[in-house]
Amino acid sequence: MKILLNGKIEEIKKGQKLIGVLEDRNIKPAVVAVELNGEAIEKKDYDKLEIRDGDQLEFVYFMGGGLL
Amino acid sequence: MGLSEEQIERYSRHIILKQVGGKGQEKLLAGKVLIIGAGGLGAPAAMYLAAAGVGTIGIVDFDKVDLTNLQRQIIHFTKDINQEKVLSAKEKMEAINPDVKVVAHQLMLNSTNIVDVIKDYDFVIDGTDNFPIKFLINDACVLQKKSFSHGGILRFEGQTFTYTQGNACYRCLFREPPPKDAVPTCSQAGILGAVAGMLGTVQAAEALKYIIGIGDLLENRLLIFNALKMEYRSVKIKKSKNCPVCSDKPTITKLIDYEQTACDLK
Ligand SMILES: [Zn+2]
Repeated sequence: MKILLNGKIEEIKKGQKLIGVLEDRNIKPAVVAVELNGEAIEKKDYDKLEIRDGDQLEFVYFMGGGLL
Repeated sequence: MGLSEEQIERYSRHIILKQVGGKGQEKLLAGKVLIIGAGGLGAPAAMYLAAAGVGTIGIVDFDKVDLTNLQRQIIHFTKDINQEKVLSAKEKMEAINPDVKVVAHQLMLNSTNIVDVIKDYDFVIDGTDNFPIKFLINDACVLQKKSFSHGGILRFEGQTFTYTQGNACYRCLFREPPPKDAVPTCSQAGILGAVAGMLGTVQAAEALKYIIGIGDLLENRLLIFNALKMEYRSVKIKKSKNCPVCSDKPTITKLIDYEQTACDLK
C-alpha cells in the first residue's frame, strides 16, 4: 500500500505500525518528530499506531546547528 | 520620529517597497530584535538586521571567535580570532550602520537569566546549536508571550519556523530534547557554510516582516530545505492540545535547565 512520506509516495507493508516504518528506514525514533496526517504523534504511540493506505507521514529531524 | 535626509537615502530601497515605505522603515528603526548566538545563523541575521536599520539589536554569546568558525560565521574576520564573539559582531554591525544600537550580552543563557534578557525585545532569533537552549528559548518565549524564530541546521539541511502567541510552538512538534548524543551537532557532523547563511537570512527576513507587520510569517509551518537537492518544503505544524508548554493545561509552568551534552560544552 502507498503512503505519502515527507511529500513523496512510498510503498509500505500492509498493517505496519509506525515504529516499523521508522525501523525499515533505519531511523532512530529519538532523532525525529513524527506527524501523521498533520497531527504530532507521541513517542509512546509509535508501536501502537497502524499506518493506513493513503496516510500522510512526516518525519521531521531534530536540527541544532548555528552556534558552534 | 521622521527620517533624516541621509536615512531616506540609506533606506531608499526599502522605502520604495510599497509594503515597507517610510512608515515601515520607521518601525524598523524603533524595533528591537535579540539574536541568540553569534554563530552560523546569528552572523548573517545580525548583518542583515543591522543593514536594514533595526534600531536596537541585542546579541547573546559567551564564546570567543575560533578559526573553525570562519568558514560560515561571516560576521567574524580572521583578525577577530580569540576575540569575544559579541564584541566582534558589535564592531561589524556598527560599521555597517551607525543608526543601530548594538547591545552585547556576553553570557550563557539559563533558566534564571533568560527572561531578563529577552523581556525588552520585540522579537527573538534563535541561532543556537544545542537542544537544552533551544527548548529554554521556546519555553521562555511562550511563557513571556514573545515571538521568536526557530532555526536549525545540519550538514546540507535547515529548518525554521516562527512562533507567535497562540500558534504552534517548538514543543508542539518536538516534545522534549533528544537523548544525549542522539543528534550530532554541526561540529560533529559538519555544515556547508552557505546553508547557515540561507537559514539565517530567512530568520532575518521573518524578524523584519514581524517588526513592520507585513506578509505571512512562518507560523504553523516548518520550512525545511535540503541544499544538496536544493529543495524547499513547508510542513504544516499544528498547535497541540497536549503541548506541555503552550496548551490550556500546561505541565511546564517554569523554565527548565536541561543537561548539556559534553560535546555541546566542547
Ligand atoms: Zn506548543
